[in-house]
Amino acid sequence: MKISSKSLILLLVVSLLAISPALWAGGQKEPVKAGAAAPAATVETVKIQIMTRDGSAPARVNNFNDAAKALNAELEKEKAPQRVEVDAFVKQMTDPEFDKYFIFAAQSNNSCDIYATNYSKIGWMANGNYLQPLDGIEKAPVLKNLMPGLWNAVTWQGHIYGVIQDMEARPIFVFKPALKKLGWTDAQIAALPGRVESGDFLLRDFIALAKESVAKGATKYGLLHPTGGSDLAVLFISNGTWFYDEGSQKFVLDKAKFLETFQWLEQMGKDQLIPKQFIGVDKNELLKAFVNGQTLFLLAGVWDEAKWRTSGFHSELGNVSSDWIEQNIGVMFMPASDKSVKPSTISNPWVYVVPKSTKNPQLIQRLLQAVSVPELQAKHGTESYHIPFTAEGMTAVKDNAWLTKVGFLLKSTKFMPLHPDKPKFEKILSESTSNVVTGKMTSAQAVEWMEKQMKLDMGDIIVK
Amino acid sequence: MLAPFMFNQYVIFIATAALVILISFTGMDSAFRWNFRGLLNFRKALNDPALGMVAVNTVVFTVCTMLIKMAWGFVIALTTTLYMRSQRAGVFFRMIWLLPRISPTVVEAMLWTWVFSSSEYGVLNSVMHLLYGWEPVPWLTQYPLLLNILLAGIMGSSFTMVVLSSAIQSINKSYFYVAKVDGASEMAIIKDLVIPFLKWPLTFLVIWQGLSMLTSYETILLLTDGGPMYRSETWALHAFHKAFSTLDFGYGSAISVLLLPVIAVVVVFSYRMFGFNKLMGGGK
Repeated sequence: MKISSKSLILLLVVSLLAISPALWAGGQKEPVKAGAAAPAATVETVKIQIMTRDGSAPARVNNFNDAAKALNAELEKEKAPQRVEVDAFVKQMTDPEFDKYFIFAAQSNNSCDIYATNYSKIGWMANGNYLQPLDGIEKAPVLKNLMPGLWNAVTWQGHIYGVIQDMEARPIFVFKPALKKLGWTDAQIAALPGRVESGDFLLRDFIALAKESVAKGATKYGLLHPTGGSDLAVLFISNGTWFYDEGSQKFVLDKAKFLETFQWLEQMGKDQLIPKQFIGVDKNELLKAFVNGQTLFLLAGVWDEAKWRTSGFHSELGNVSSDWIEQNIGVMFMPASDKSVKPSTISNPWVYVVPKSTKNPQLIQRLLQAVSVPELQAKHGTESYHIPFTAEGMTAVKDNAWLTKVGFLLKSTKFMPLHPDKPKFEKILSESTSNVVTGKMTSAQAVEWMEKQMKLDMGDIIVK
Repeated sequence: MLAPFMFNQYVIFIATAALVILISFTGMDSAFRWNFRGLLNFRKALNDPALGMVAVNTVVFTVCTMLIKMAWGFVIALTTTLYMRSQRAGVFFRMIWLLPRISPTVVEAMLWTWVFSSSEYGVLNSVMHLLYGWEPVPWLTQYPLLLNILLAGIMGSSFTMVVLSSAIQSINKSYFYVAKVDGASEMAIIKDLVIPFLKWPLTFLVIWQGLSMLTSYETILLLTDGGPMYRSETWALHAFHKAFSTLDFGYGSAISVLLLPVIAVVVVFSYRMFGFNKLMGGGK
C-alpha cells in the first residue's frame, strides 16, 4: 500500500464526499402513529438495517429479530400502518476500520438505521452531527431501572444519543491455587474481594502479595495487564486519578497522581513482577498465561471468562468448565492506594446509536425499547458473558453463576470520557505506560512526555 | 484508447494530491469540516516529539530493506538462472519465491506474529526453549524495526528476482562461453559480465524499490503497528495513524505532504546521479 495510491485515493473519495454530503440526502418518511387505524392493504413494511462490527457477540444485532416480532405484534394491535422488517448483520472489522466505515457511510448517505458500537464513540459522532438525539427515551418503562450512572455514558452535551446495549467491567482476576500455595485458606481467599472493597487490602498489599508469589515460586509473574487505554485506566483510578473535567469538557493531566501510578508500575516492571515480554501482546496470550497459573493477578474483562471455557487455553485441560473457574479464579476490584479512595472499575458499555439520516426515527425508538427487554439482555449476556444493564435484566440472569458473581462490580463503575479526543488520550496513556513498564522511560519522563503529547495532539488540556 | 490511463494519471492523481495538500491546511477531523487553520498542522509536526524517531526509522527501513531486496533478489536470480542446469528446477525455485507475492499480506503477517510471539507459546520461543532452554524473548518489542526490515526485505525480494532473472536470461550465451574459454573465474563473470549487463534493470529497481519503501507501511502496520513507542513507525505509517486511528485527517495529511519534497529530491537525484533520464527516455 502506498501513500501515493490507495491512501491518497481514499482521502480523495472521502474529501469529495465531505464537500457534498447533502447531495444524496433523502426525504423523511412520516413517523408511525401508534394507534392509527389503517386498512390491512395499506400496511407498509419498513426495512431497518442494523449493523455491528463485533462477530464475537452476534446477539447485539440478532436480538432485533425477536424485538421486531414483538414490535410488529404491538403495531398490529394498534392497527398501525407500518410493520418492521429487520436486516441485522455482522460486518467484522477492527475498531478504527469501523470509524472509517461509519463516517464514509454517513457522508454518502448510506448509513444503516442502527449501529451497535462502543459507547465512547458517541462524543465524536455527536460532535460531527452524525447522530439522531434520542431524548425522551429514558422515560420508557423498560429503561426505567437502568444501573446508576449509565445514562451518563450515552449523554453528550445534554442530549441522549444512545441506548445502552450491555455492560461489562474490568476486574482483577486472582489465581486461587497460587494463594493456597502461599498458605491462604479458602475462607481468606473468599474474603479477599470484600477486603479490597472495604479498603482493608490496599495497593501496597497487592504489590507485596505479587512479590511474595513470585519470590516463593507460587507463580512466575505478579501481574499481567493489556495495554489498551480503557484497561490501563483501571490501574490509574486506583489512587483517585481522574482524566477529565466535565465542567470544562477538557482532559486533565494530574501530574502528581500519574507519577504515583507510574512509579509502582515502573518498580513492578524492574522487579519482573510485570514481565516485559507480555507488554503489547495479544490479549489471548495473557488469558492463556493466567489460566495456566503463570501469574497471580490479571487485569482483564468479565467477558473473558467465556474464552477460558471455549478457546482451549489450558495446557492440560483445554477448555475449562464453569466449576473449574469458580474453584480456581477469583474476581475483585483493583485495590485502592489508600482507604480514602473507593475501589472502582472501568466499564466500556456497548450502545445502539441512530444516524441522523434514518427515515423512521420514532419506529426505531420503539424498536430500541423492544430490544432492551430483560429476556433479550439475558440472551446476549449469557451468550457473550456481558452484564445486563437494568435491574430486571440482572434478575433475568440470576441463574448464571458467573454474571451473578461479577454483578458486584457494577456498584462502582466509571466510564472513560465521551470526548472526541478520547482515542488520542488512550493512545498516549497506553504508550507512556508501556514505556514505563518496559524501562524505556522513567516515571518522571513519562509524565513529561504525556504532557507534551497531550498538548500537541489534544490542544487545550488542564495540567495540575 | 488512452483515456482511462490519462484520466488516472492526470486527473485522479493530481486531484488527489491537490486535495491532500488542501486538507493539510485544515483541522479536518471526524466531523469532516473544512476549517482552514493555515500552517498550524505543519507547526505541530515540527513539535511532534515522535517525528524525529519516525524520520530516522524511515531512512533506516527504506535503505536497509531496499538493499536486502536488491541483494537477495539478485542472489536468487543468479543461482536459479546461471547456476542451475535444469531450467525447470530454476523456474520451480523462483515460483517458491513468488509465493509471498501472491499470498495475502494479512495472512502472512498473522503467521509471522505467531512465529515471533513474545510469550512462551510463540513458535520461535518454543523452538529456542526446546533447543537451548531459552527464556521467552519479546522479539517484536525488542527488535521491532529489525524484524520488519528482514521480513519486508526477504519476503519482498521476488520483484527484484523476476526482473533480474529475465535480464540475466536475455544476455547472449556466447558472452559466457567466451569468458569461460578465456579462463574467467565465476566471480569475474558476475562482476565484469553480468552486473554491467544489469545496469539499467538495477538502476530501475533501486529507484523503484527505494521510493516504494519510502511510502509503504502495510507490513509494519500488520506486524508491529509501528510500536512499541514508535520504534518501528515510519513516516507513511505515522501519517496513516494520525489520519485514520485518531481521525485527525488534517494533521495526517500534513505529515504525508511533508514527504513530497523528499520524494522530489530523490527523483531529481536519481535522474542526475544514475542517468535515469536515459533509461526513461529509452536512450539505452
